[in-house]
Amino acid sequence: MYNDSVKSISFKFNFLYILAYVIAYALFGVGIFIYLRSYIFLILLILAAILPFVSFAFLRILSKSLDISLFVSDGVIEVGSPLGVGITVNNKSIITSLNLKCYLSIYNDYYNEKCDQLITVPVLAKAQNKNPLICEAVSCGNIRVVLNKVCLTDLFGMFSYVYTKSQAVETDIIPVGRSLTDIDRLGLLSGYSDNEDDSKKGNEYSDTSNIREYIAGDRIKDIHWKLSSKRDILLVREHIKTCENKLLVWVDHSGRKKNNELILALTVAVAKYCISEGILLKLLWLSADNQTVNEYTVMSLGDCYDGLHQIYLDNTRLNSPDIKSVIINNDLKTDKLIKIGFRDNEVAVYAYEI
Amino acid sequence: MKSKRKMQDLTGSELLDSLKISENFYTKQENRVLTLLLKGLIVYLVTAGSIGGTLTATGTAFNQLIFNLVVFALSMIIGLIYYNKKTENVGDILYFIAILFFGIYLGAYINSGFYAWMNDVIGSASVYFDLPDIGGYNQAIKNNNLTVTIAACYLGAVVVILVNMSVAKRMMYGDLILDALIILFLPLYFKKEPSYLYFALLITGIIFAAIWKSTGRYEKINNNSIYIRTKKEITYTYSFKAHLMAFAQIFICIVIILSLLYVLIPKDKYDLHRVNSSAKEYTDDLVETFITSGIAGFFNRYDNTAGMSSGRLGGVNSVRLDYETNLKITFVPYEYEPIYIRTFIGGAYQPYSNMWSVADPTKLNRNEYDMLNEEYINRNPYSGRGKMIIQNLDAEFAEYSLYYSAKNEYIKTGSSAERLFYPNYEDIGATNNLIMSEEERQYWLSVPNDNVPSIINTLNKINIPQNISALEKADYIKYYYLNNIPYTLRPGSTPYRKDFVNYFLDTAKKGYCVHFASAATLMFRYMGIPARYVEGYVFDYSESSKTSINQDYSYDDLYEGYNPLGEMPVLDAELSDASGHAWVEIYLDNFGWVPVELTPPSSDTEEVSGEGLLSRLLNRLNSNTEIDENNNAAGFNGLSIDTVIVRKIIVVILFVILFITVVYYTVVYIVFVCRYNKADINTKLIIKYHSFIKKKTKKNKELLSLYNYSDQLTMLYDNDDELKVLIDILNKAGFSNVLINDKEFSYCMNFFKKRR
Repeated sequence: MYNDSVKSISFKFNFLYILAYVIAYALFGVGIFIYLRSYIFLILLILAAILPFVSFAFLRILSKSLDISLFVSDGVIEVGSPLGVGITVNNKSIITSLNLKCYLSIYNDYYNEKCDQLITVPVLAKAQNKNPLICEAVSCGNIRVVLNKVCLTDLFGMFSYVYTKSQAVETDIIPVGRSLTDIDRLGLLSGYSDNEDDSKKGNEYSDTSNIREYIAGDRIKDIHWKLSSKRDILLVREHIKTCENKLLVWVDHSGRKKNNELILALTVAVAKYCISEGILLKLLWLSADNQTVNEYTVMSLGDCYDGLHQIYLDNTRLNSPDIKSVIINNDLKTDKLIKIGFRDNEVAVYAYEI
Repeated sequence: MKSKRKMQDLTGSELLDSLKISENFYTKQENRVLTLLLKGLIVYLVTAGSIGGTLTATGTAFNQLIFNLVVFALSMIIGLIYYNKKTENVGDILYFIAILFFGIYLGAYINSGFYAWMNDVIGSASVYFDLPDIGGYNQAIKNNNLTVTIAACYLGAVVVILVNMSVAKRMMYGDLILDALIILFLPLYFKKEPSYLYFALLITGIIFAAIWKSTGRYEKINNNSIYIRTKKEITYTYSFKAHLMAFAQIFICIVIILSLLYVLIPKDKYDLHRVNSSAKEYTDDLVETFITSGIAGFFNRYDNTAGMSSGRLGGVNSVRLDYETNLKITFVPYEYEPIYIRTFIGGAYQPYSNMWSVADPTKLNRNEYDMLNEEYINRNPYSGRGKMIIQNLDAEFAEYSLYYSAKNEYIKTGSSAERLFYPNYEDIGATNNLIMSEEERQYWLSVPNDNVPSIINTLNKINIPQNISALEKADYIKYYYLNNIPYTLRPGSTPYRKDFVNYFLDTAKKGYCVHFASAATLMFRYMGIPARYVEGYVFDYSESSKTSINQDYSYDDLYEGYNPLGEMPVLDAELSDASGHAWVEIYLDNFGWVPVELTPPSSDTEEVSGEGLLSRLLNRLNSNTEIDENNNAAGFNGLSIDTVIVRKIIVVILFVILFITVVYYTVVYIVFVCRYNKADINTKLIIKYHSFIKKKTKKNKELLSLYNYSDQLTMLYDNDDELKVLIDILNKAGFSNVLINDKEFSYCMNFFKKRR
């Protein structure tokens, strides 16, 4: 059921035509109708007087049986791939409408873009019909579609119900992963090598997340000897890599949109590389106040996309800050990090030493 | 006029800089064939509804199944022709060739079918106009069912082209209404209604077309894309399923409503109460002339006063009276009989030309006048002399002679003249020795041979004894008329190539004074009684309403000598065309020419027109006024015209005020709605609030002195949390730059609704 409150009822032209006809007939007689005084014109007059009521009744029935919802494509949507956004109309009544106007607002919060779009679809009797608006993502960001208002016109086109809605769906557009260039890899490795040394000192594991049975290939030092002896079965510890001194990836998306796209693509590429290499990384980006740093630990590609989602929502494409001071100010325990950013007319991975 | 193209293709790809509509979105295509078939369905409904409705209305028998199948098939074909430019061009040519071919091949059938239908139309017309024996068309092929079916199919083949032109590209439902009206006009004019089924088809077709038009997606989109982007929206161009469902629902809905209406308001009942519109009466003349005389009838028309036109006969279908004053006479009443004022005296009757020639002046002696004048000079005690002042206000240029006056000059419109006359009281005996010369007698006895059979036939029916006086014979004729031939102001014009008198006596057997006087004149002549046809005005004390006492003249100014009524007041009488008349003068030996009244009283009833509220009001007022006028006239108190004018002015002013008020509030409402729709949500809320408070102010006048939202609301309601929220929202909407959200708006609206 379409439970939203009715905001207003508006009269459409067909109703005004009929009203004008009835009034003109009653007051003056309309040209040939009064001239001929035919029986069928009398019938027409009464029909014209009745139809608005029928029309309104149809509208009431239809509005009570209508369910409107938004949908958006599931899964990872990369730049350039199709994105299905649309309206599902579920009508449980047998009344049809030829005009259901859906007032949508489409946002890309990352780039602060917005457009209002009116989409008109038919309402079929006793049917659920999906009306997809097939789009193509041109650049990254968080696409949010909000259904603000719905205008339902009755079958005879005489009245409209206007509902206010506040339904929204959203999805992220992920940059297409690119392969790392040698320069990128060099930057990445130079940034990472020192950290790897640290990890080799045995500092990277700080917490146990799970205990499981031993599987061939597990490190000997991970075996939980005490518990194993109690249970008579080899158990090993699983660790969460919570070390703050791992690879920090500063996403500097403060430049132009075109460069940002490249930076985000490079970020994904770096993340993929690190994940494949078993390297932990932490995405860093500047928060809205331009002082604090937001971070997101990436252990899988999903984490990477979630991180990007946060970046999109934070929407702080500010001027490139003095990274070192920000790191120090935020007490980030690291002495090595890489920056993915734009410098010397190029988007690349740059190693930093702190 | 170039129509507004709503479905202007503005296919664009960008929604946002970062999001565009995929090209694939526009490549999904609608099934154009289905669209065209659905449009073809509208063509079928309108075409079959109009033609089938017309044929059923006139009661013409035809094979309805075949007709509907053929028109349906043709509608679908003609619909599909518009598939693309190529099919349109080639298809149109082929279709026209096919029509031409079948037109030639089935020409005889089609002609006969149309004639059969026309005969039915003429039959309807003859019932409507109450016309006998109009005649019809001869059909080469007598099988009406077959020929009418073929003709109807052929007409359908032509009409579908016209209808499809309106439907296919622009869905111009106004044109459909026009097409249907043109086809249905004739039967509707003659009060013949289409059958329920065809009417339902027609209405469904037109309503569906109107609805389709109102959706704005009726145009052919070049790439057949299901979706299209216009300036305002992304919209579907067409959905066969939805349109088919809509059509089915509309059809069912219309059928149910019409069925109920046909049951609840039976046509027979409506016919009982139906009266013709006054506007239609004006065209009845033309239509009737066309039906009876064809196009030639239009060239035999002339203006007439009360159906008279200086001896021309039969050229008008009905007599219309404007009741405007034509003549004003001032006189002293001198006898109880009506006073006749002659404007035209007919001499010889010209059959088939249907007119009375102007009487030969040499045959118009004034012997009665001379003799009466002599008696008056000789102071005969029963002799009198009167003077009548005749003002020609708006009448024709004529002599306006009285019984019995000398030859006088004609009176122009706008001028007046005095007529001296001598009443021929029987006791005077002045004309006792009056004898008509043989030459004159022969002149006034001429009867055209063409009329003799009809006259003999009628006289045989009347069966007048030979040995009775002329006046007694006149009584026979009068009673025959009274019992056999009704008086009507709508006798119909005389059909082309028919004689006026013969048609009146043998066929029409109804008419007004001109008919009765013309026929009677020839009857008297045939019986050997000198007679002549006379037109003019007659003043009757019992019928004349616009009469008043004249204070400017004394009795002595206008009358001298013997007056059987005694000394009467001087009267002013206004004569309109309602006083126009035609009568017969017969010549009585030893007395002279005397008017004879043979026209039976009118049986026509006055029709009440009622074309609209205003007209009805005015008519009601007029009718009241007329009663008042009659009452006044009866007492010779004069007519209070001022009252009528004042009343009319008041009605007109009231109507104008009402009209202006309606228009003003309509405009105000439309402007308000436009502004409201354009306003932002804050303004909308404030508008709603003001409207809410305005209503409250009617009950609580103290609110007028308060200006703050909080003051106004706390005066009306308890200052609870709900009210505080409302005031906050109102303050936000009214005094800040921040837009309220929809929830806040809805909250306020719910509050207003609850506390309305």
